[in-house]
This record gives sequence, C-alpha cells and structure tokens, in this order.
Amino acid sequence: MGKALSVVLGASLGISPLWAIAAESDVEQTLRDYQQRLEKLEQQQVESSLTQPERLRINGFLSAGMSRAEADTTLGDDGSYIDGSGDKWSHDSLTRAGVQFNAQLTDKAEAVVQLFASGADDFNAEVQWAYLDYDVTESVSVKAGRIVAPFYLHSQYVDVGYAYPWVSLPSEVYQLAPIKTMEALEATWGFNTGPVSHRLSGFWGSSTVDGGPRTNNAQYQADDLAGMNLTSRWRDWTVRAAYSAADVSVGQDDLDALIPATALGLSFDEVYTYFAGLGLQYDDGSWFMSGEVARLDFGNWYPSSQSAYVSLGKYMGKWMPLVTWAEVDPRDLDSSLPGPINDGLAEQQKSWTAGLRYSLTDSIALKGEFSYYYDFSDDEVSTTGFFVTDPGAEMEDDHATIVRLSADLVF
Amino acid sequence: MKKWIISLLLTLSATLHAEPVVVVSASSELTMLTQDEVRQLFNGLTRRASGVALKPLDLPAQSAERTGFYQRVMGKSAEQMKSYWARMIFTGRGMPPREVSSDREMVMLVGSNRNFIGYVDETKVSPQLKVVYRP
Repeated sequence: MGKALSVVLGASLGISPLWAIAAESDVEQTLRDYQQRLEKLEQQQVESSLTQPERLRINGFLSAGMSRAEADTTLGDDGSYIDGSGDKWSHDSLTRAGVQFNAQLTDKAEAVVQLFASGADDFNAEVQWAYLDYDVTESVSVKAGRIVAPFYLHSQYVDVGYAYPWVSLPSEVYQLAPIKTMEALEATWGFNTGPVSHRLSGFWGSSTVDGGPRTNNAQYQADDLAGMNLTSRWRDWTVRAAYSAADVSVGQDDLDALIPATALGLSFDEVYTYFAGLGLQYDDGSWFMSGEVARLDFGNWYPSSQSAYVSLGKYMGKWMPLVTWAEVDPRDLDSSLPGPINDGLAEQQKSWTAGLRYSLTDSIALKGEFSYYYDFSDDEVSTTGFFVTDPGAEMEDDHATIVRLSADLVF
Repeated sequence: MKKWIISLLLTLSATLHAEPVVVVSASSELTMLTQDEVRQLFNGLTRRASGVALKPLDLPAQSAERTGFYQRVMGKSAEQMKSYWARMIFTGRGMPPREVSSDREMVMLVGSNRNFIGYVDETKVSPQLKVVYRP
C-alpha cells in the first residue's frame, strides 16, 4: 500500500514538472507582459505629469516676530523705530504672512496673485501682487498689473523672512525709499554670456508711497515711475545695478502736517526724483556676504539721502552668525531752509547689528538680532534718524538699541 | 595583508562610485556639460544647454544622492537650496526641479526622454543613459 502510494506520488511528482513548466512559462510570460505594460503606463503617467505644467501652484510664507526698542530721548519720552519697535515688546511690527497663487493659463501666460497681511497693518489682508506674466519668447517675458517695485537686491522677497538671514532687512537701505509695489508694465530679458546669467528689466508705471510714521504717513504720489535694472550672476556672485526715476508729488495738506510748508512758501509738485542702487552678494554655502549702496535724490529743497550696508555671515551647520554695518546720510541739504526744517526732514544714523539664525527644520528658521544705532547728529544736522520722537527731541547720548526676534517659515 | 589592501581598494572604489553623476538620455546629442552649465540648469537660470531644451529632475528630498549632488556641484546644503528656491518662487523667477519618487523612476524617465536631465548614483547608470558631467 505504502509502496503503491509512493509510486503514485512519485509518478505525479515526476509528471508534474512537465505540465508545471509549461504552465509556469505561460504565467511568467503573461506576468512579464503585464509588468511591461504597467511600467509603460507608469512611465507615461509620470512623464505627462512632469512635462505638463501644474495648473495651480500655491506657496506661502509666515513670519512671527517681536521687537523692543530702547530709545531714550532728551525730552523724556521714548522714541519708537519706523518698523513699530517701541519701549514695550511689540508682536505686531514684524509679524506678517502671505499666500501666493500661480495659475498657469496657457503654456505662455500665467496669472499671479499674492495675498498679504501684516501686523503693521492690523492684519487686513490685501492683494499685494496681482499680475499677468506672459512669455513673449523663451527669454523675454512681460508682466502687467500690480507688481514689485524692483529697487533693491532683495526687493522681490522683502516680506519672506525665510529667504534671507536677517530678521529684517537693513532699514537704512530698505526704508530709504519705502516703496514695495507699483502698478506697472515690466519687460524682462534673461540671457547668458558664457557662465554668467543676466536679467535685464525695464518698467514703467506709477505708485502711491506711504511715507510711514516718520512723515505722519504723508502720501508720496510717484507718476511716470520708470526704471531699468540688471542682475548678473556668476557662480556664487550676484551683482545688481538699478536706476529708477519718477515725478513725485506730495499734497499740500500732508506737507503742512510735516513742516510749516505753506508758511515758508514750499510746495512739492511733480518733482523729478531718482533712485539709484548697486548691490553685491556672495554666497558659497560656507560664507555669506551682501552689500548695497543706494541714493534717493529729490530735485528740490527736500533732503536727499545716501545709504549703505554690508553684512557678513558664516554658515555653521544649522547656525549662522551674521554681522551688519549700515548707515544713512543726508545729502545736498538746502542751506536756504531754516535749520530746524532740515533737522526735521533729514535722516542720519549708523548701526551695528549682530544676528544669529538657526534652522529648526528645512522650512523653519529662528532668528534673533541686536542692533545698536548711533551718530544721529553732527555739526551740520541734528536728526533722530529712523526713530520717531516728539517734535524737537533728540536721542539721549546719541544712541539707541533694538532687539528683534522672529520665526520664519515657508510652505 | 594583500587581502586587506584589496578589500580597502574595493571599499574605496565603492565609495568613489557611490557618487551622483549627471545623466541625460543615451539618444541625446549632448556630450559633456561644464560645472557652470549644470549649476545654471539646476538653479533654474537656463533651460538649455548646447541648444537642447532641458528640464532638470530632482531625486526625493531625503535621498543622500540629492544632498551629495547639491553639496558637490553648488556647495549648498538642502536648507540653503530651499532658501534659494523660496527666493526664486516669490520673485516669480522659477520653480525648483520636479521631484521624482525614486532613482528607478529617474533612470526610467531620463532614459526615455531627451529633454530631461537628472543625476543618479554612478552604479545605477543604465545603457539608456549617458553621463554628461561628473562632479
């Protein structure tokens, strides 16, 4: 019995490989076919998803900051800085958030809308950018609508704290002309000369610039605002030169709130004003250097200014210490004006800032900064720089300090 | 001793080979790229090399090859590249390279389309690929 079973078993075992081989190779063949078809499908799918542009992209940024100024004045009351930093911890001045929508309309046209809200503006959401970007050719594009006013090296992302190592960009330069957006038409040509990449832009439009607390929020209307700028990059170096000009007007009411303009027979009507800036940056992933000089020149009695900063930082793993020196200096003061008028309008200061950036994750950065401001007055002019004080007050001992902290993220 | 030297050499060559190389499709007319060209392509500063339109592809953010590639070619860490792209995105100047899900997908895509450019570990280079730059 046992023998019989083993024979049967043996026979079946002996036979089974025969049909099993045939069946297996069939199955294998089918499997291989399936696998090939699957791979092909997968490839087509991945490929089409990669070659076709995404219809809508959403990117956002958020900075939560706080700051405190120590700015004693000769009249007893404390001064506050133009970014809102005062004698108590302020959580509003540096806090801001934005969401940007990029909608691809056709393969050449894109609509971009950026919603932005900041503590400085009571978190009222506003449309900061809204423009149409059209690729005329592969290297020439035209933007029309509400766009960034491209005055500075870091103009295009001033609100995206994550994109730069400072808590706030050096105000001596970045608040010189506090213009962020404009309604304009801009054409940009991107081209390469060997290893150097260039972007040449020209624009024409207009903007209303709020002078902020240092001017009692005077409105500067800039018409026929036109300019050119060139940004060139070679390896770790970036150089940028910009020149913009406009016919600037300030309403007589706004002017009178600032100085006794009418009494002095002064007005501010369609004054040719230019802004010139030059920037240089080096970033090799180990060292970071950024420097800019800028000049804002009014073609009338209003004080012109020149400013500069230079920053040096070192990447040390997740940490980055950074030191910045900056200054703003009045130029071409109109000597026929009474001294106190020039003192009130001119802005002079220097500052040293020591900062530290820490990468919490690859999309969150924590930053802290200590700034020491000095040299507000000299023989020629007596100012309070970018500090807002009671009329007639001077900075106690000609110096002030501010601490700024922030958490910055992008998503 | 001999054995030890051989195994050391083997480990050495293995580490040497475990380096990302820049690849295009074997059917591409491109032959070699300079470091500047590779930088410009992966920085979004150009979309062509020697007249050929190229779209860069990235390996997943967590992959060691990606970190190694950017460290060697650009001298930048993952965080520094993220900050670079934040600047580019919010200036409307471009978007980072599209990300593939694995090096298998990278090999498959670059091998099948002449307009893709990517990087893979040298050991993964298939006959469908052509190496155009070694960091």
